[in-house]
Amino acid sequence: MAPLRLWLAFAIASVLMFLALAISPVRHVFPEWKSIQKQYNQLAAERYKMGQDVRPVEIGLRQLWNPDLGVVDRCTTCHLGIDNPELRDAPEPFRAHPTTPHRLEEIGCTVCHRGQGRATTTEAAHGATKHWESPMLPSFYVSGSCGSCHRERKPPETYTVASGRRLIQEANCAACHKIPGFSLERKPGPDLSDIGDKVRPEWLYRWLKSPFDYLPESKMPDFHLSESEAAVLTSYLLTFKKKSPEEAAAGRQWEQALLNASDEEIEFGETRYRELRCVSCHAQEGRGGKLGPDLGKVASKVQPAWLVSWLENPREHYPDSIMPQYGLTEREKKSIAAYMVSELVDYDADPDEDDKILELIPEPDRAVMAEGEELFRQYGCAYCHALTGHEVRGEFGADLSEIGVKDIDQLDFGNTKIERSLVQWLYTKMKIPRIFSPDLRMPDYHFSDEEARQVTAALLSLTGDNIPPKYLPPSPDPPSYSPSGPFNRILEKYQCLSCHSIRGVGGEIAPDLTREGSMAKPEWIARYFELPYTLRPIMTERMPILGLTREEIETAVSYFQLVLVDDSIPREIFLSPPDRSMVETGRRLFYEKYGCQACHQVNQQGGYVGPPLDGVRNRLYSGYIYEWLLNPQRFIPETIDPNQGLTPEEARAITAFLYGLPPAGGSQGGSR
Amino acid sequence: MTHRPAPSHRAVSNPVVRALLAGGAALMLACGGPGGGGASAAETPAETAPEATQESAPLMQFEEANGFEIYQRYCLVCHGELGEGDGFNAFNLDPKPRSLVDDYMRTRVSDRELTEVIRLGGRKRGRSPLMPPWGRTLGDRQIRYVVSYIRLLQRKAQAAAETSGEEAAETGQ
Amino acid sequence: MNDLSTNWNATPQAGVGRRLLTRLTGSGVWRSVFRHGWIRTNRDRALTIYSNVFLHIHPVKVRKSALPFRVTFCLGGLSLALFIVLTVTGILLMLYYHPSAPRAYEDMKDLEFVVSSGVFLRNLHRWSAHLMVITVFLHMLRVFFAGAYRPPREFNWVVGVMLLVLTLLLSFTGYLLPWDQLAYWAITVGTNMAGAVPWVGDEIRFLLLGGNTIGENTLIRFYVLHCVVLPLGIVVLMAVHFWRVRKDGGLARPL
Repeated sequence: MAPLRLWLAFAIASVLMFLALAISPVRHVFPEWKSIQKQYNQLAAERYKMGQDVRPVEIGLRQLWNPDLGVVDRCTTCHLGIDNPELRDAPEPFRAHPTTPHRLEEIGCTVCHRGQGRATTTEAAHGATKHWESPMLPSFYVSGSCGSCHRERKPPETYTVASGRRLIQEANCAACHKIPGFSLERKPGPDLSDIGDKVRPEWLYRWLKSPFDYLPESKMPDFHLSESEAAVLTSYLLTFKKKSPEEAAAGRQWEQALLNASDEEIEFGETRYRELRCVSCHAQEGRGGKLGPDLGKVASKVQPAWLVSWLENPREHYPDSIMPQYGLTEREKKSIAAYMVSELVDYDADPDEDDKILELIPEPDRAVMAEGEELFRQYGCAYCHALTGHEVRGEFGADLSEIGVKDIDQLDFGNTKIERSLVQWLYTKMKIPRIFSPDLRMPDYHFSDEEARQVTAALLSLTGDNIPPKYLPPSPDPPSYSPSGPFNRILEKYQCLSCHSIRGVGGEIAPDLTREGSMAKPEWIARYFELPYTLRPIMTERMPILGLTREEIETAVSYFQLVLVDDSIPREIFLSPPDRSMVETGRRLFYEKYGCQACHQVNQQGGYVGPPLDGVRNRLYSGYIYEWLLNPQRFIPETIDPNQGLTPEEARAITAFLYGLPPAGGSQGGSR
Repeated sequence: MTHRPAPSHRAVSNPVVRALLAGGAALMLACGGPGGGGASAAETPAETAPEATQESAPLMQFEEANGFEIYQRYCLVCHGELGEGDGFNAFNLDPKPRSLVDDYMRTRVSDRELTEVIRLGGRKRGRSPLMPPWGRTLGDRQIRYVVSYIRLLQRKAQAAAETSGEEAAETGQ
Repeated sequence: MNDLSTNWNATPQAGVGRRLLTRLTGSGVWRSVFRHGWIRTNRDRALTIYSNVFLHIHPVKVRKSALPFRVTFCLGGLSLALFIVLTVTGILLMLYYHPSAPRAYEDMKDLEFVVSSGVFLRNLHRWSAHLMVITVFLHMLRVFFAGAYRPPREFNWVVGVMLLVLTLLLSFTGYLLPWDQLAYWAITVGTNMAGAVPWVGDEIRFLLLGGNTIGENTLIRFYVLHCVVLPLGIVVLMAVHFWRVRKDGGLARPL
């Protein structure tokens, strides 16, 4: 028989062993979520007393289940108030979910938020745990998940993703990276094969060195080139010329002539520059349109002779230029060029510095050419710029099709001390592209904090093909509009579709012309081509005076009247002039009931948001006004004119009132 | 080049890491600081790495971001960029558009009341008909987004008022 | 048989309890289960041991010299105890586990988060498995250093080595079942090693995987091996092993 001491030790050891083994099962009996549910029930009782409709819950695990999406989300075990709007201000985890377009119980939580849906402890569920590859996204970035299913460029109700995608588009990320949904039809940068004829050497050096100094809205990113790299690349690029020496000599004569132009010539050029509304597309010092490059400092950039030949015919230089071909006289061309050369100068540039830069730029000998060639290749310049002998294949940068679900083990954090998460990595990369390794080539886009976040959110939406097709929203039919004949020649020559759109094809800055024939009267259209005044005084992007010939105007107007029509819109709704009482009713409805003067000017009185309505009968068909009043969004879904819910009688009366309005005292509407 | 993080960055939140970084920075200073003035990004010190979820500036969350977009499009012309009732179209209006960010709007007007005014317009709520009804143009959800964004504007206005109040107090001393 | 005890038990002066016991142990049902009566004599004691399969496993007599802890370190017994724990927890885990690619990992997550004491079960199974590999290995070392592989125990050494191999195989096949990255790559490495066998390597690899890469087939194969084939084999060999321990002269000591 063993001594008592041994028995005692055995007994104690057994009890300890039992207790140790009991820890885990006991913890299962009193889990964290049960106490959270009890807290919720306390809150519910308090709120119920305050008269809010918040009911207590039965203690037990809850889950959302969607086998198609692989969702088993037990988040609702603790997040008990997500579908109760009364709890918008409640503390987490009981707060109501923000309004979303989706039914939460259908798609679950982790589809958007990520994290570990099956987990039932706070730590494991939120997913920042070892061996869980998709931790919860910080709340700002959750909207990135909208884009995983909504793959169009500008999905509805997803401001953050849509902004990020716009930035990806504007920054031309797809030139170097494979990004689903983004593909460039043409190289985003200008063709460089005549760069030697086009620009000044000191400008090219400054531009390569830091493009954002010359142009804060630069589309070309900052490659952080060293001084010698920029100098070598400048020297290399300047060797690309198209002009023969004789032409170049003639150009220099031109240059002298332009620089010696008289003040009257320059003044005339400035007047024409303003009248032609160049600023609609070309900003000056950041103010104006964004379609073309900023011209505020163009004299410090391009060589004058090149400018004149460009104005002559842009598409002779670049066949796919979107600049309209203006019908300019010889004198106009020269005066405009003289104005630009003498006035649109970079006054911040230091002339002494110019000389220093010119000294820096080496002669293009064999070694410099080889080095320039290497730099051009190294930085992937050819992915954005066409240059003879530099054709490219494949992508220069990483494939981003699944960057949104990249495992962090596959990311290089270098020696940075940032948080080890995909979101933080992407954001840091957007802010300082080469931070993770000195070998990286990605240029700097100077994104602001907010922009970097939006791009990060948009990148997080690139999750590959992990969504079952039935959950993807149907993609709209691609728009198709292919005109031919003389009207097409007009569209080509004046690049109308850079700004206007027809049947879904074209730009977004000017009105859609799909129904123009049912909307505007031909006489007005013809007059408008001759002298386009601004319908909306607040717009900076105004229709330029293109100088169409009489035949061209006739062609366009008849095309509008025959083709660009909507048969469901009557032209005129009044067979005889409407009676006085109807007009009076309309007037009262216009001013008193619906407050239309808040946005529209009549007789110099009223708001500046919509077009002025004086003499609208000369511009629009009454049928269109009537239909528009009934439902403005029918014609332009994104118009800000609110649908007031007019009855047909009211709409008729207001139309009658508007149709009676005389043109404003001889002036061109509300143009300023 | 200095190693002071840009003031807008609240880059490191972990106190231990912060202490380490401070130590490292002190060491660098003691060694005469990093040589050369090259400003290339690769040389940017790790501790100035930006934060993806910075707290100093309030981030626009889902509802507010969508509300911002709608507000920009439909409301800004009269109510102004910051909701102070000073949009460029405001001077044409009589009565003037309401400031959306004063104390009364912030504390006394409920979400429900805001929603109703936006949905039904001023006339149906006994106010100016110059505020149009948006209920047929915007859905309930869109109006909810706008209300959220207005609340964000109110918080911003309040914060701005507080800081300017503090500054005034400081200069007063 | 057992006349003496029956007679003794049946004496009139015996109490009610005693008489009931006698009636019970004398009944046909008792006799069909146990081949001996109530333990009164040395013969009964011997019969109890001989005719009971569970008690039979343990030797009737153990030499005093083999009793101290340092002689065996209880390694064989510990291995058996762990095997029993593994069997029990393994069966309980089988109640929740589907050996299919879409479900396997999720079932494991459910065990972790929603099955009552699921984490406890899984951890018991896992740690017992690790421990069993260790104890079996140490057991082999102990036997080696004690020289207990020498005749007449050489065959039992061979059986023991087979048991070690089976233990390792159980451990290996169980590794795949969680169906996570660790499992996937561990089995990739493991089966590639099998593929390095000369001449028939590729065939062995194909046999193990049920294909050329790890997939649903591999999971099913490993599941069947882990839960049926290998445990059966190990039980049979263990029986032989214990039986031989007795037959070869008890626990290790100089003969």
